[in-house]
Amino acid sequence: MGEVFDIELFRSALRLATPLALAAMGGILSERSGVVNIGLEGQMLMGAFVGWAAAVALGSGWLGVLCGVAAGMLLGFLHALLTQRFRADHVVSGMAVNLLSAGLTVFLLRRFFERPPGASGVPNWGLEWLQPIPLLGGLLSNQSPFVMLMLILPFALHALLYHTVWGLRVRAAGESARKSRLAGIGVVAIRYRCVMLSGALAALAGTYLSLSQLNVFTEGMSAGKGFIALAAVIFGRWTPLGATAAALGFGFLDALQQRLQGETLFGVRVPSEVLLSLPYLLTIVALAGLVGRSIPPQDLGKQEEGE
Amino acid sequence: MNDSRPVVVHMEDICKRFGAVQANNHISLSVRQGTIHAIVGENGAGKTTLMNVLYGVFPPDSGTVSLYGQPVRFRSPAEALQAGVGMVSQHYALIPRLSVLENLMLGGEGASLAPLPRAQVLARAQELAKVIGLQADWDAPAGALSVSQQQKVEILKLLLRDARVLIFDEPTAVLPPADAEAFFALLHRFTEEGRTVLLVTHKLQEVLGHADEVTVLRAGEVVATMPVREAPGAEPQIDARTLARLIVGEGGVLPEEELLLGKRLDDKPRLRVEGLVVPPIRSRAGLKAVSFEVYPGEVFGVAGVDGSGQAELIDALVGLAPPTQGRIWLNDEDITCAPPSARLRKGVRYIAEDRHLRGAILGWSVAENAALGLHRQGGFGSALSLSFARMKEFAQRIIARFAVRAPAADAPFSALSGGNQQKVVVGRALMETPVLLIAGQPTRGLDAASTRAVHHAIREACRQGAAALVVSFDLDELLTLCDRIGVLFDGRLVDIVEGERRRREEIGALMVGAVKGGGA
Repeated sequence: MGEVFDIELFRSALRLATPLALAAMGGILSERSGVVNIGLEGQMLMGAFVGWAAAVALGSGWLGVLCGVAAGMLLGFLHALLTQRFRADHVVSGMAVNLLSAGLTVFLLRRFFERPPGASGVPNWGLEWLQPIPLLGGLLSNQSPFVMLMLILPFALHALLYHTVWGLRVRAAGESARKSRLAGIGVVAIRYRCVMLSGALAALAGTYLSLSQLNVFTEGMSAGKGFIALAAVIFGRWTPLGATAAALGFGFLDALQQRLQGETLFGVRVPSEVLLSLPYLLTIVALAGLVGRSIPPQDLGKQEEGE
Repeated sequence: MNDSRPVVVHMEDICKRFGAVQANNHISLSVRQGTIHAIVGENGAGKTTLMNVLYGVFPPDSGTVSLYGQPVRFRSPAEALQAGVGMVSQHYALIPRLSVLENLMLGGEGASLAPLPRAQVLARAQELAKVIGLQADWDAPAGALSVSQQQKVEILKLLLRDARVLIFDEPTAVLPPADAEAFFALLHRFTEEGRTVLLVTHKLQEVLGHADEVTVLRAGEVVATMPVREAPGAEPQIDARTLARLIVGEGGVLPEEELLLGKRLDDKPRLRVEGLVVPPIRSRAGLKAVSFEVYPGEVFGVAGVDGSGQAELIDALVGLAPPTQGRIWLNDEDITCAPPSARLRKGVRYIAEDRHLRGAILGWSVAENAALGLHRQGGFGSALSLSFARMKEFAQRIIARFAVRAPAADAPFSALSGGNQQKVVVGRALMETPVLLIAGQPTRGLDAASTRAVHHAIREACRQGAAALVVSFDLDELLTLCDRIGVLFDGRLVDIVEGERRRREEIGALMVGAVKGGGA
């Protein structure tokens, strides 16, 4: 029993939470500006593929990350174009992004790579000087740079959203496009930027999967993580810190589930499927208002009305 | 005339068309510095469109705007604000879930990634708040403020940007009388400071009482521009009748002056409310043990400052909010817990105070909205079929009877101007005599002719045997329309006035809790 909750469990929880938290930050940016982005899943997958492919071609993990992020940004641009310029329904457009990514990555993978080679990934940071610090040293030394980023980014985003002029405009655009426009805010421009950044962050999460966790791309490797990230956004009430906490919680459940394969917890054998489904169940609980009300931005997913 | 004062705003030959509607047709307008320039006209005359053009909400199809003699072409409200032109629109533009301070900082200057100028804005806002008499919790969500406070925050927002030209679109539509007077005192103060005010209104008394010049619009064109008074504070040179005649044109309907009193048709109450308690929805107080009766043939008015429990009363009566205590009887039948559909079936009709939120679905056609809510009993079809022909026919009857300006019965509802939308909502409730009519601000935003039409329709329904309950923040409306007026204060019905006591001052004092009523 004692050996279930060791430091390695928490280290792995951090690693598993990283893609969720990074993509969730993207989800927050997009949704706070008023655009539903269920395309996080597809953007993550595309980021994973392009990042890995570019790393293989260019021989550098970091260059791969850069290319992956650019690809995610492009998908974000597509989503913004469809929803803002052509006024497509946000969910439909997001689904289109997901389907496009799922199909395109498989097609390109089979067309260009007979047997997917390993890429030169992004190496972990040793950070040996952290070692002597109890707990922190154990948790953070020799982890991926992405993990560090995941721990810093929420604070940066929090500062951006709540303490800068731009953040206020983003929140206003998500609450009421019409009123924001009357107040002199370029709502559409803000939404374009937010959705593109959202795609970039989701893709960054994807490159973590293919260049830091595994160093190889496998078909459909995002495996629903984009949707769990979206759940973390809702669970965290559309706030960066809340969503990160939710992502860490989901990551912990995932780590626990992997650890408990075939083992018992407090004398009970818990099927891993139950733990795997917990993020979704918890999201339903959050949406039902059982842990305080989770209220989305008021104009989320609405088309701007003409005068 | 004050010809010495320079022209600040000059609009020349403005045209603007929305689909089939020519909203502005070659309109020219000159506004002099330091004046209150009123713009009046019926619904759909093009007032709001013209102001939106000036504020850069949308560009004109043709025509030019100049400011202080310089031609300008605002592509967005941001550019207008930058040039010193600000507008307080009819539906206030504050974002309810952002704090008061955040709303004030919104749209301000400053580089994107600069930190929010909290301290500076707060300091200046506090200073300006003293001037305009605003007391507010700066960190409270703007939606929690009363309408009067929200309006002041809007004004504050324009003053923070040092707007020199202030546009107000129907500013007193939802203000209680005392606050409206304070508002005009503020306007005079602004003009003394050299600011220029454009006042869109349909209340002629406001024009005669406060404006320096007036421009009358009718069907998208300027009918007349004339001075109202020689100098600020002087007596008006024109009278209400002349102005009203200009607004409606030859053969138009003038606003009513007569009272519309009815008589009780039966001594058995149609609606009986006893000890009703409703938890707060949009007020602090909610409804606390309210009891009253409404009889067939009479119009029962509910007066009170916004947020005194009106929303809770209406919601309980139409079945949207369950009361925690008390009973509601309709013709001796207990409907306290009946759902809205059951009440509709029993002949209860509802005119919502906010047609966008509750009265209509903007994306639907006029005909579909005309049938909305009546789909079960209006003969429009069954669960498995829907007769669009009958819905259209019903809509056409509403259009004809209430003189709705609509291109066609199957035109999109959103293509109608606000006043015409409201007429459809009112017509839907009154085409067939209801058993009980619940009306929340039925004439909000309507012009004189439409207001009169709605009042007469309510009266006529009561003559035919309906009982009506009308909630309004406009005391004049209640005094014109209602036989008895109940006054809500802090969730209690403090008094019901009728006969001799139906006076402005008496009700005004009850509304703010200055006198304790006899209780009811």
